[in-house]
Amino acid sequence: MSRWSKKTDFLAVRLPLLLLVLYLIFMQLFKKPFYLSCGWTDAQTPYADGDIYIWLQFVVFIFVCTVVSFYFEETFRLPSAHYIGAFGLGTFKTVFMRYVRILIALEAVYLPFVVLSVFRMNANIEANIRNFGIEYALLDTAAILTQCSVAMLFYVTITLFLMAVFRSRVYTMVFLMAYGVLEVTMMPELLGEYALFYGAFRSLPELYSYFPANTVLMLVLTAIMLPASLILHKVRRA
Amino acid sequence: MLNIENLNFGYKKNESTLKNINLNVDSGFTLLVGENGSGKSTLINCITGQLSGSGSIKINEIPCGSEDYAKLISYLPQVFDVYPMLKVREILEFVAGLKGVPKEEVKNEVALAAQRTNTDAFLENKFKKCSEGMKRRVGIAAALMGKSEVIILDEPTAGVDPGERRQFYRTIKECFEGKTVIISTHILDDIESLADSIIMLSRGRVTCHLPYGEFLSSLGREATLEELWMHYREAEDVTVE
Amino acid sequence: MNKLLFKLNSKLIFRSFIFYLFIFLIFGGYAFFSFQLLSDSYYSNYVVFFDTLTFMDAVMYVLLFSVAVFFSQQKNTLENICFVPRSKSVGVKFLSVIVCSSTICVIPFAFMLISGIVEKVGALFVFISVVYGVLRWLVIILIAQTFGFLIGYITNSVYSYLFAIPFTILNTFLNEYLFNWLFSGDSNRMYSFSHYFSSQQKFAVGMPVEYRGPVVDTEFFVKFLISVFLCLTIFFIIIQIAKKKFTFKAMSGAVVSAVFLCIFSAFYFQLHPVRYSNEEKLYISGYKTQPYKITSYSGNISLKEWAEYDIAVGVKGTGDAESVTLRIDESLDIKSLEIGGRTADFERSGDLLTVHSPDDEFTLELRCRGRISYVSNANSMNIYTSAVSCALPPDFAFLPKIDGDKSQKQYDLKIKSGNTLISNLDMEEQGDIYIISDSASTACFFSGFLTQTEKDGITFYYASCDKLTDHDEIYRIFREDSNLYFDHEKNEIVEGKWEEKPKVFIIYYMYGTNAFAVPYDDFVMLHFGFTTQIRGPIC
Repeated sequence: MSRWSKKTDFLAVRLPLLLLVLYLIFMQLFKKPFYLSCGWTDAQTPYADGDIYIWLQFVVFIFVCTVVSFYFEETFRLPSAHYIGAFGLGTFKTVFMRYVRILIALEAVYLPFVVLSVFRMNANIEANIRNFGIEYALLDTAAILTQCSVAMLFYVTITLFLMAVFRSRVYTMVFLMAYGVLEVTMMPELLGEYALFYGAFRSLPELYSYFPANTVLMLVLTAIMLPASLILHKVRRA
Repeated sequence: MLNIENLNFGYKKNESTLKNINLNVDSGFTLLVGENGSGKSTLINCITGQLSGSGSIKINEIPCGSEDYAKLISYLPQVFDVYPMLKVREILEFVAGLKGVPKEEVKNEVALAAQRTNTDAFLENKFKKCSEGMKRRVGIAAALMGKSEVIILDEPTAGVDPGERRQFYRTIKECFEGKTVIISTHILDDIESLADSIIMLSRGRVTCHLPYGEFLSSLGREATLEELWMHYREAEDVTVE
Repeated sequence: MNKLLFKLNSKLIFRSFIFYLFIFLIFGGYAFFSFQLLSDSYYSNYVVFFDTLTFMDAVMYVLLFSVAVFFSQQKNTLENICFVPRSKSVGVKFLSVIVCSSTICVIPFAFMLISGIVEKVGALFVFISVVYGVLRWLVIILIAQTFGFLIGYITNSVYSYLFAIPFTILNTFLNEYLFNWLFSGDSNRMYSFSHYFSSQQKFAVGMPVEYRGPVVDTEFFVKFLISVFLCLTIFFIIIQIAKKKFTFKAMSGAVVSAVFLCIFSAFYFQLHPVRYSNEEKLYISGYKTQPYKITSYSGNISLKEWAEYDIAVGVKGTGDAESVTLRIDESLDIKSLEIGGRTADFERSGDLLTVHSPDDEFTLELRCRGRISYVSNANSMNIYTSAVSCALPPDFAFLPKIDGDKSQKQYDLKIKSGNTLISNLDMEEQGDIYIISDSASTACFFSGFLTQTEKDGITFYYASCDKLTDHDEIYRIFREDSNLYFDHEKNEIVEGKWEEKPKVFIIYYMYGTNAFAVPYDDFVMLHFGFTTQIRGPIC
């Protein structure tokens, strides 16, 4: 029975994966990403404003797209897809299982840094409490973990989907980078709380919520794009 | 005539990939043979001017590197993966233009070359739509453009089926009659079908340069091509005509 | 050979999927966002609308960069078998990518031309807007693709596409975050470096001077030349790298281009607008009052980018003094200053000009020349002179003034202007010359795309290219609804109603006035509103 070599897979993406890890470590060297200005809304719900999602989501998005597009490069390229098919490896093994594997690997790398970041942000909030004497709400680690893990799931899925559409890592990366720049500029105004990086650019991050609007949207889109990617792979390889 | 005198080339400083190559190649089909790593591709790249070593390379006394030299030589690489979105006609017209064919004669020259190589039915096809055999014929048609005196074909029949290969031999014999054709190859069939003379390279040196008939009897007895190959692969001395 | 190579590369570029993707995303993006923005808001004219889409410049940069990387890494098999020198095939490919990508400039060209005709803004406005749109996009194309091709060619790796993001940040308005961090506290340097590296228009989010139209001045053209020489410098560097051995021609080309790049870069920094504060330039309350007053101004003024002033200033003493200090803006270079045909004894420090040992009454014959270009703290370039527009507000020392002098002065001036000129002074128009013979306590001049209407004996001046603002409504709000106005002598908001004036300038936002009306003796300055308004009742 044909098996896909996990070792080969990870060797193929070792460089961008290493760069992602180095970036996440590098980010921890600074204090600025973890600064928050806190307060209470009129409705007595807590809010906290900061740049954390630029560092923890936007920049990570670029690395993740690179990793995933490199990972699936040969899977969707027509000559390679036919060659792989000759080994009796279907879409489930070639795409879905590997998708799960890379997702788990990326989450395993990413989420510990998310936890560490929450810890540092809470330390900043505690410092604000001491300095201003106002009782601010600490962040819920589980809420931010949920948001970030769903975000990572979405980044992997959208990259996979675009790889299935374009069959090229170059076009995928270019498209995603162009969209990323739009998110920095116009999208927050256009999409509001549904923007992909809502909370990163000119908007208040929903740090106290488990499922803000954009996270829900990401889940819905993931549910659509993942099967679409599998179908596209199956149909085009035939 | 192609003249090569005292050609030495190394990719690195204290390394010689080609050692003291001296050759005079007349018109006819000369097959350049040798094992992998013997320096065939390096020699071809030096002849086509893509690499420059010490020594001199001339075609009819015109030195390598000049614009006139480029017009006298045509080259078909082993992997002819030119731009897939171009039409066959566009590729041939481009080559004709660069070979100095006058603008008003380009169309005729392309049509003639296409006819001779049986590619006229595919002129409006995109290159990526052509089969491997057709792509090679397009390469030969490109080599026919202009007034080339020396034609270099680098492993032209690699990956081609026997039927297509026979067709290929016929085509190049007809098209390149009277020209100096150097064909680099591993395939013994090519030697049998095409060779007027043989150049054998081994470890960067010319170990044999003989007319085909003399090559066959050079061991003083009847020998197969494999035996001759093995003999000249190990030879230190150069046997030249 | 070059022509053949260019033809070949053009075919390859126009038939490639990445170019289709680029065109689709640009057309699609602009169409989509145009529709979105137009359904949300009104715009005073089409150039304002075009500038609202400035965020798409960053997207365009990423795509252009990536297209250039793609083609820089293409194999040149066909050229190689034809023995085209590598440097030539790479060089022509580089230029072909830029030329082919420049075809998208048909978008701003067509948009500006058609919109200008539809909005009936006049030939000059249309021409300037076309030049503005096309050259702005060309700057983005040149910079993005130059860097993209260089990076792609040197690295020859898929990772080179990732450089699109840092280069986009460096070469667009996003670099403000970077330079803010580098030059924290020094906004002059921050903005000049930010705009130098950015391929976009400067002060994109500042309040525009509406009647100016698109900002096409020497600085704009210098920016374009910088991008051209940057492109040439890198072109020669790429040629040199492709040749793999030192060649005098390529290196000297690179050096010469680099020298021009440096020269124009230095010029750009010199031309960048200087930040001003209202207390220094506009609302100076009795600083250094003098026992002198100015009685008259006569002479010629040529309003262009480097405006020329050849004027005689009548000065009369009102007390004892060994010197008189006038205020004349420091950006004006004094060519000559004479009293009674002899060179005056004077010294200059900043805006202040001190004339020693003057008589009780004398005439200063002043010739000066200079380029006025200031930007307010709200990032509005609202004090300037240029070929087709100027903003020389009252209280600004473009003519010599004496602080605290509120006396009436006789103005007998001939002003040459490249566009419609308005002033609080009465003028007679003779072609492009405006003859002034009037008296007032202060003078202001504004030129550009301006028009005027008269109603109930009041003359209203406003931007002719403004299709959005209801000027009657603006006047009514300021006159009837507002109970506050800005006192320019005290530099403060004052409660009360201002008197009706025979001239009303509804032209631009004078920062520091909190958008309140600024009444003078015989005219009033009003803020005209905003260049965009959310769809709803128009005001």
